Amino acid sequence: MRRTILLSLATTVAAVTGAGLQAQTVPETSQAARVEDGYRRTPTFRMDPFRNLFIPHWGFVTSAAGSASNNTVNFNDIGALIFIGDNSDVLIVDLLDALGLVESGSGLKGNGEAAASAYIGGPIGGRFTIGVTVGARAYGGLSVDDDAVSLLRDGNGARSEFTLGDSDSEGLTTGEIGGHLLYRLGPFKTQDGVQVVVGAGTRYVRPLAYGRAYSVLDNGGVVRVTGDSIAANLSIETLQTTDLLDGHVELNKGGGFVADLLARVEWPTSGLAIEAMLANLGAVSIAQVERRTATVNLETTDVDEVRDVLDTLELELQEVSNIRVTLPRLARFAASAWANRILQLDVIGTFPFGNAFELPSTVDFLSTWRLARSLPLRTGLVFSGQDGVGFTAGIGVETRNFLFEVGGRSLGGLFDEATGASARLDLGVFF
Amino acid sequence: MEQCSTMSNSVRTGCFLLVAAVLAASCEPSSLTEARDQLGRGGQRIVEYVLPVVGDTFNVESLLDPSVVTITSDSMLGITLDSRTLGYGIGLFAPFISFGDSVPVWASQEIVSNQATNTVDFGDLEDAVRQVTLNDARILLSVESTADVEAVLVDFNLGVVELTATGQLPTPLVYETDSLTGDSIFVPVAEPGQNFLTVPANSDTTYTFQGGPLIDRLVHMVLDSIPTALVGEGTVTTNDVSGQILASDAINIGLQLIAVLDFTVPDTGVVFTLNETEDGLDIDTDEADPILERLVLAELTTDIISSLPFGVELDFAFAPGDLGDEDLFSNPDAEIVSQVGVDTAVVDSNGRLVGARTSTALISLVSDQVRALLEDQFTATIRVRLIGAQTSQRRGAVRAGASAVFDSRGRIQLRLGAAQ
Repeated sequence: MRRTILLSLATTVAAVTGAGLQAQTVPETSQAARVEDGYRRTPTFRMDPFRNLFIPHWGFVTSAAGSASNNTVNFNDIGALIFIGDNSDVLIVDLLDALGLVESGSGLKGNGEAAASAYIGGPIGGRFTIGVTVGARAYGGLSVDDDAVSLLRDGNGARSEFTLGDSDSEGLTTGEIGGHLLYRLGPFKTQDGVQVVVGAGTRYVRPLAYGRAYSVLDNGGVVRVTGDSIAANLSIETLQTTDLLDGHVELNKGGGFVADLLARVEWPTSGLAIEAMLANLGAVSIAQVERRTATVNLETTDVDEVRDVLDTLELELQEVSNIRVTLPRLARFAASAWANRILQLDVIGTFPFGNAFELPSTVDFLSTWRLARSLPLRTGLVFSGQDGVGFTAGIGVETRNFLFEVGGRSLGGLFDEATGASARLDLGVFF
Repeated sequence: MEQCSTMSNSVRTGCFLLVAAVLAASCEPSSLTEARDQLGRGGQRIVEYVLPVVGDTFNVESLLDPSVVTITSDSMLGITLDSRTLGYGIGLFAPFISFGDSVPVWASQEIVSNQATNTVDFGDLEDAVRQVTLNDARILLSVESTADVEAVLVDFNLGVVELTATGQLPTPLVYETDSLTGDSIFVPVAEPGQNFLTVPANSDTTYTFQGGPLIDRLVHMVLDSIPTALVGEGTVTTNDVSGQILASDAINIGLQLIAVLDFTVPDTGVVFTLNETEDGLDIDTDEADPILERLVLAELTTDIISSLPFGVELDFAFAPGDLGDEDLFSNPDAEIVSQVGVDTAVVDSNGRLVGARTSTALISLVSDQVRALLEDQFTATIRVRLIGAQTSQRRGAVRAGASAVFDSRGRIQLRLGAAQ
């Protein structure tokens, strides 16, 4: 494993330092050289609007992917909670025990993303590829400030003042349709020269449902619990589309265009590629959003009064209005090398920016093994600032006319020790 | 909408894949113990929660029926024992009274306990009052004369007489006596230093007489259900040489008895009980059991600011549910917490508090005692023992507004995490 990591690091350095580093020329007769260009672009579990455009044939691809993680409970913990719920009741002490799993200082964080899409597209001439994608996507993020968790997790014996801090939760489900274009330049100078691929596209994103809850007071307000009194000054605001809780959705909810950009440089016969992608650039308007607030302004010496306040606490409707929400944008940087006959190595860094409910940053070290040219096996490691180390595995059938890929990833550990998971399924046919 | 439904299904497909991965990865525990141990894998920790339990003020006045509570002119707390008018026409005793005549007059009033029209009602303090000596009682006499001449009550004394079995005054009258001296316990209705009281013509005047020993005796007899009457007896005359008191004239005496809560308690103190039903935390047994298993420490610390002129010792007995007025100290299933003390007060020679006292009482509770508090309701019997402020000063006079302010905080430590 260490060897794989070192090799991956070397590949990354090579990619970053650019073309000055001469990779080994890949013989035209090698397995690697005969891999379809589109399949050299290793799939990931994150958003990739250009995913299928690299396949140089007209075809139809459907995809489904999901990823979710948190920084606290692993699958064994979730299994334990489910088991307790099925066979007994989840008790206060169970929850207090589980709160002990929230690492001190980090708070409770969780993220999720799920997407499904259908793509149709193909090349026009030798240099252009166009594609149209229709899909749906759901994002969600939860962040509970460690200061808020601390009251229950650590008690108030040693400290008495707490706050909601930056606690925030947000979720958005969208439907979208978009068109993307790739334009290939090169090879430059020689037949084996560098090739450049640039891509751009836009998607029209229609919100289906949206919800958010967060503290509106500076620094998250304050809760002070001492032996003499309980004081709280909190204000929580929620935003939600009017029918979010009704179990149905309406299409007339605003919308917006978002842009995706890509630049890729390849040295095909040298077995090297580097790529940069920006995706989800833009914001959408969401119509008919209810803004509700609940405010607690309490100072009492009587616990019963706290209970009464909580019992009567309601989110009061303030207004119904249109809002704009910046989508979870991400930047992806990748480097790929396929230096020997059967092995391709990728380093892919994905860095979200600009929104609360984005998935955490990850760096994937991936290896694709083509022991048989059309049957790639993929394994890898993923490093995440939130989740620690994870593991990736996948298998595919990548032929001229047919594509089937399935992959999975654990985050923060392996199998039942993992605190997150990702899964992806692609199925395509080409003409 | 159909398109939308398709989109939602697609998202569901993604979610399904994710859930499938989760379920495939998770390993189901073989028992609840194993499952709970899994959640406790974060390591054992002792977590302390401190909460205000109750901030409350106990007023002595709250133990009394508001309709009988009175505040004296010197701001002491008392109760009105009785209030009615004793009236008699002078002419019942003589056709007229003129200068030099001296006509005997008397009147009586039966005093009973807890009857609407004629009341000695110490409320929740009744048991306490049985055990103490009342030092201060005020007798308010409003004397109204309709005569055109000045009348004089001479040697007119108030005393207490035990009625016969048939509820009649004995003949002759037998007044209650001081057990030490054997003398009748009288309150003279007279001007200071004199044996008479002058009642001006056509007047209505109120007089106040101190009657501690008399009222103390009367109260104890009434509380002991001894038929008792307050009797006034003396003579009436006039010093007006030119006029007469006619048979149609009257001297109406309005009587009001006020017992000030000015006690002398015995050496052993005064014990009485109070019952309270309170809301508990309303936690199910299934929830409560594991909490109590994890209980490391449960303490109730109470700061008490007392303006009572006595020291106080409290014992608590409590049990789940609303048990009304049952004395839980006799209930074998009740939990008992004993000997919670409040520092004794400092009082002056008249038993009046010099300054409020602050003390702290700490109660440590064991699991079974905490369990009772986790029910939806619990009943507590509070046994109060009043003791003298000082060994040599067992008298205490309760001021209006005398209270004990309780500020309690609960401290609970739970053992959480790790395999329990």
